[in-house]
Amino acid sequence: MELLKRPLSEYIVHRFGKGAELISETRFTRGSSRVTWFVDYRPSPGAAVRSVVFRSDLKGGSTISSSLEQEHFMYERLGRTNVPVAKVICWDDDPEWVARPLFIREKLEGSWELPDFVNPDPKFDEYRIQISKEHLDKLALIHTVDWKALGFDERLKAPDSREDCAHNFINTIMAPFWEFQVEPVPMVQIGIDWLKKRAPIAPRISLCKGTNGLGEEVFNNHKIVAMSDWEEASIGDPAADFASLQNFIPEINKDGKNIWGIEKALAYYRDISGIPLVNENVQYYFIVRALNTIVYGQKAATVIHKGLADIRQGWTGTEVAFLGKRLLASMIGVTPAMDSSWFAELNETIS
Amino acid sequence: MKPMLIPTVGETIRCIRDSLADVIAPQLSTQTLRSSMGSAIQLLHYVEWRVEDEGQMLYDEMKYLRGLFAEILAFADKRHDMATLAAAIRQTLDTKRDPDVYPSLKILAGEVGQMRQHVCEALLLVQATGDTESERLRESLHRYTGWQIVQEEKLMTAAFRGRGPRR
Repeated sequence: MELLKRPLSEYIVHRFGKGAELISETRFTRGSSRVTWFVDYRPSPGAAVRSVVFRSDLKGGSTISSSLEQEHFMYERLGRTNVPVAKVICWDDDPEWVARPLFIREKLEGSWELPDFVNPDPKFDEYRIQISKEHLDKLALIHTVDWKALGFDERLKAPDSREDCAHNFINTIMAPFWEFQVEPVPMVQIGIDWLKKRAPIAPRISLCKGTNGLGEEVFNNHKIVAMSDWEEASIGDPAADFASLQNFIPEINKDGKNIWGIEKALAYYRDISGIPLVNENVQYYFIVRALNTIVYGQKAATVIHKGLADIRQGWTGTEVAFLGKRLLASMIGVTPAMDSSWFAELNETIS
Repeated sequence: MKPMLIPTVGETIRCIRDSLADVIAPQLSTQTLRSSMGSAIQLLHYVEWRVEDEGQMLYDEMKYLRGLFAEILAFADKRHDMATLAAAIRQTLDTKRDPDVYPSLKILAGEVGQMRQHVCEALLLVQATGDTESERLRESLHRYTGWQIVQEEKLMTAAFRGRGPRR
């Protein structure tokens, strides 16, 4: 494993004790922000196999701006809440063993893949709504966490007020951009100005997950057992999470009538969370999301520029970085609307 | 006219890409390897298109920006708060390229980068004011930005679209 200075089999013994034995290691191919390895080991001869996840930055630096320490902090602190997350096992920055800092967490039994969910056959409609509600239940849990009491604001910059949420969010994602920026991007200047002049008031100041939905959460028997990928966590308007929600609010029509979609999902969410979130805020954060896509696309471009990029960053720093600009321009009327089928292409995976 | 230095850079990249896609990729045994190879092949398409088109794209943008700068200068010369920007733009426009040095893509990109920086600075200044004249300039700055993105889209579409999964 490229994260270590010594063979993984030796590291397993070092970490989990004499008699621990490496069974298998697999790198997760989809993730492009950080490196994720799945490792199976046997703690002692005859014992049941355990699965863990190794997380680290890419060799040339992470595609996203937040630190690995922050992600580790999120898992550790979330372990004190009732939000389902994998338990953190350890942080390791010992130069004797690791090529760069990493942390290890448990890998819970389950899968992020839900083949029936993406099947458009109407016989799966009820199932898709059930999965959607399960996910909304867990988002509501996150959004009602007492972040102040648990000290999440030790790491995540909290807004001063509900009115300040959008400005705080934009300033937070842009702060590292101004540090690493290697080329001027007029679209960024236009986007920030447009967004700040139209900032909505948040219905509540909540802990937010960042990227969520299909591909991010681990399911077992139709229930979420772990919410993963907290690298974009923030404190602010819960609408930001709905704008980062991947696939889990499908628009479903039956006999010409809408039986599920964003408005119904928001009504369900308002009922279970008590947070009066409206779609206008969600639509606003879709535009912020496009701005953020430029930020991490440019971050990947910076890593390529420095010369230690992973091939995936090569892609993020080119096509994805461009699409962030194109989408933002399209959303605020700087260019004509873009062809949305481009995004479907991005989600295809090599088998 | 017959081209010289056959094969061209673009043709050579295409040869490498075809070998990777047709000979090596099918032999890769894990999804991790196939995924990395898929990304690499996509990026070779991108490089191929950039080699062919980037130089002209940069020239087109410089031409557009020279026109836009005339508009910015006409506006800036009436305002004290834009004197520094106006001086910087004039310096950029007055800078002559060394005729003995080949205008490589790196040199051209550096020049366009400098010009885009002036656009960003002009945007900041007009965003801070709201009168009719600055609104007109803001519209021109937005029009340039939209035009530039659409130009870039042509290259990105040719390089990436319809070529299957990237990862």
